[in-house]
Amino acid sequence: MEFEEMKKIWDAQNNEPMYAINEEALFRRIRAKSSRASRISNINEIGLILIVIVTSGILLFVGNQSFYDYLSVFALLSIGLYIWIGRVRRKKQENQFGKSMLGELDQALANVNYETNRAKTFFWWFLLPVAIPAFLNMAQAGTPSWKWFVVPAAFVLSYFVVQWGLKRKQLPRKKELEALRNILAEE
Amino acid sequence: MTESEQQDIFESWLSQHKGLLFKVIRAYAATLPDQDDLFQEILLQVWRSIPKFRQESAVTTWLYRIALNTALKWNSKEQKYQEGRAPYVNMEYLLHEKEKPMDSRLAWLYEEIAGLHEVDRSLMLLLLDGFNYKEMAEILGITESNVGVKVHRIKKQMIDRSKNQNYNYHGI
Repeated sequence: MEFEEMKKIWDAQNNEPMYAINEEALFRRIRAKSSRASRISNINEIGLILIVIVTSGILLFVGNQSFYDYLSVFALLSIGLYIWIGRVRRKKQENQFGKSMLGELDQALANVNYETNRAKTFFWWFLLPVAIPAFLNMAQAGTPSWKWFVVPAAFVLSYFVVQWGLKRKQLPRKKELEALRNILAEE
Repeated sequence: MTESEQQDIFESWLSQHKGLLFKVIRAYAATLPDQDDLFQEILLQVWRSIPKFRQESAVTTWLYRIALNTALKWNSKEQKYQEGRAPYVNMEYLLHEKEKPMDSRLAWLYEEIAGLHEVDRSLMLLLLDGFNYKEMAEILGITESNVGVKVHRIKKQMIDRSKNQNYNYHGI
């Protein structure tokens, strides 16, 4: 079969659509899905920012404050700002349409790289700034011994959860996107 | 733009260009549940894109861009879900296949397109729908010469496959 013959077969389908659409369900589903997608991202980001603000508030206004409490608040609010900047960046990219396929893949790769770098540097931008003041604070006060197990365990657990997400989700996705991009761009 | 204006444009695009979207979902998703899922994903992106449409390109080009970009990303994500995905029970589908069976040569063509690499599928769809190299290069973001090289290879591949399947100029 020559290509022109394939084109004729292809064009013939335009006379009759191959599916019927359940239009009643369509708008309901699109609206629900549209609001759900943005709600999930909002919950993650706003939730983290709220946790940071509430924790800072507790450290600042409950009980007697030490130097290390102020240090913790500074670290927490810096982390909140970091998450907020990431959110603004994401929102901007969310509303870009009409890009070429290569442009879209480059954008998706940039997003994955951003997420990957954030996960890889999680120790430096989250664990270290939060853990140091927390441990110093614990060392000052008469901290019960169980806290010396629970607090470090929570930090270690959060580190492994982030690294697990990196290995299971972000790195394979990055690999796939890079492979697609290479195939598209190669001559 | 008000939501009612957005809805008017959405309905008009859907009624005029649904055939284009059907072709993309058929080429990228094998089963009806997957086609339904991809259709929703594409329509969601189309809905969100409406306020950003500036009429600098034709509606068909705009829709093809959105549909192909969504399908490409959906496809690479979807492959991971196949094994562990929940069965589609009591689900309200948006799409219903027409009772009249598809022309066997057209079914073969879709099967062959689905067998191509995801990137090549996009090129094949655009080629069959009559886009020229310049338009294809803009949609894909690659050079016209690169489009030419790829189109030549894909055409040859498709013709070879049709020969292997004993298709000739007169159909089956």
